[in-house]
Amino acid sequence: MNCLEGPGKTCGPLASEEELVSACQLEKEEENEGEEEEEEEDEEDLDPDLDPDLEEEENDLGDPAVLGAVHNTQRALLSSPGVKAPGMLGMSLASLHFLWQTLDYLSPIPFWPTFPSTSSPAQHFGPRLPSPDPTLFCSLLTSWPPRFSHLTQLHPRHQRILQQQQHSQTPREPHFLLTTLLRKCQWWEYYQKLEKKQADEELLGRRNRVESLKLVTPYIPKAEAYESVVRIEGSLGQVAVSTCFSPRRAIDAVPHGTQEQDIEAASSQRLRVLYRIEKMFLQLLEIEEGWKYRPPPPCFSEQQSNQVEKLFQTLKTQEQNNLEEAADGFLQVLSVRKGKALVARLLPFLPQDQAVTILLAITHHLPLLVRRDVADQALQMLFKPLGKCISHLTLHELLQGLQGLTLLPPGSSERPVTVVLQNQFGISLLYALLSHGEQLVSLHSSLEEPNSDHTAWTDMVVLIAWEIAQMPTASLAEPLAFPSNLLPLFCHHVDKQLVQQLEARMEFAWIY
Amino acid sequence: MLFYSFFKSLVGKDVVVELKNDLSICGTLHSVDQYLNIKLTDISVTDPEKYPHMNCFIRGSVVRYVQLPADEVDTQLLQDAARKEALQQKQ
Repeated sequence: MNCLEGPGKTCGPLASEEELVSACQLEKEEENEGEEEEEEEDEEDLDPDLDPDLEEEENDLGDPAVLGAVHNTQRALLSSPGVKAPGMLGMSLASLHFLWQTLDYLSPIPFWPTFPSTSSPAQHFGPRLPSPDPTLFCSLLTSWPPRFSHLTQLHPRHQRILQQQQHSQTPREPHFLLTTLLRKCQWWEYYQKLEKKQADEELLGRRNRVESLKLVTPYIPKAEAYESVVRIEGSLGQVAVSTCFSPRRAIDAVPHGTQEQDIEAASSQRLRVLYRIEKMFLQLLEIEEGWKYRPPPPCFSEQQSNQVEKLFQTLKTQEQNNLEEAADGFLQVLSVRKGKALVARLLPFLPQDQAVTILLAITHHLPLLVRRDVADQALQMLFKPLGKCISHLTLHELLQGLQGLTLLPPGSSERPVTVVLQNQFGISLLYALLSHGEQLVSLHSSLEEPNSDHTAWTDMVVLIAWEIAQMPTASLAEPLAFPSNLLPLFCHHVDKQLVQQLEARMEFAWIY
Repeated sequence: MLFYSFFKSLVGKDVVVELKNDLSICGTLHSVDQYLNIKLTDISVTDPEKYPHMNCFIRGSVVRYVQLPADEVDTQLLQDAARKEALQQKQ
């Protein structure tokens, strides 16, 4: 953000980069000169402090002339194994070979004009010296620095170095790089000896030293607190913060611990159900598309009937051999909000008998559905379509559906109907069913003589009335619709006292 | 194009746009385009703000969420449209 304020300014590091580089080089060269003096004296002495400087020396390839000299020197020396350069190489040929390989790897620019080697086409400087005779070469080495002609133009730094060498007292070695490599070899040998010493010590039981000298990759601990944004004083917005060790977190959702197998099974089960529901929705959308420009059902074309049938079968999971599983599949669909929406939209398209099947299934499992609907509270959307189906029920079917609610389950003192009464959808459905039953009975009472169904019906009504009376008013859910013939229904079948109790509980319904 | 159409139906409504840099901007949806770039008017920043702006243009790619009034959205219709769109894209 700050950089934006000064468009004319350049950022700090960029401007002084060149200076840094040149400063570095200067330092290196000065160090090299210092070291050269040292190592003359302690050639055989293993100096453990060699290491930090060696790298710099090796990297100081600023003097291509020297490099060329070294390269060619090596070639010359190796070609004649009998030669030993005076005072310089107190090492075995094997070490020399190692050096040579390193030098080869470095591939210096053959800048030295002295030896007309085949790989150096560019000859910049003057005096040409005779062919690479080893003896001559050795003498050449001792006659450092080379005498250039007055026409020679050297880089000021190079010139300075040469001048310093000329002025110094001690005989200087001409090959910086060779020196570096020599020191590396020495260091390597030293290190080998050191490791051997440590191994011996380890055997004696002094392990600590060994481990402390090992090279350890620095460990950067991960930051616990994650600050995704930084607010700068006086700014309008925020800046996202990320480093290579803590890149921006994509989402905050991080799995906390491991899920138990039960939960995993449940969630995968849920996913399967949702997947099924989506497939059925696609079928439903096709059916609805077909009905856009046609009169509402039950005017079906054959294709549409097939589609509906197919969807119904999918819903009822008829492919399951076990009826219980089939019912279970249907209930699973109804336990999800999307499933309820699906059924609610499908019901108007279903033929009567299939719609009744669904209605009865829902009524039978009402307590279970009510319990599963606590979170969603979405059963209400089923009320209207189901209400239309209710009018198609026969008394017998009605009784079948309601019987499950009034039966006392084994090991429980509570009837399922109590759970239903506490839920808005449940009580609304119940009232609607009772209302229909009353209609049926009053319609047929004049026509038929009382039969077992009527008796069962009366018992049912009394039982439900009693349950309603038992329930505290606060627990009784408010129905979505209150049928007008409900109280008369109760009046017919129950005693006055009970009716009064019922009235008291249902008085809020009169406000409708 | 589904959400372009969806947002077009919401022009004139009050929305809260949450950006990927965690900034939330509340305003009236003025217009939207095919990239879901959003123009808001009468904006207020939900965190204390020092720069009063009346209008703002938000590039669609920096939006994380758009918070909508629940009663303005027909969820069923949106779901059906999304299903049809998904079906079309599959084919």
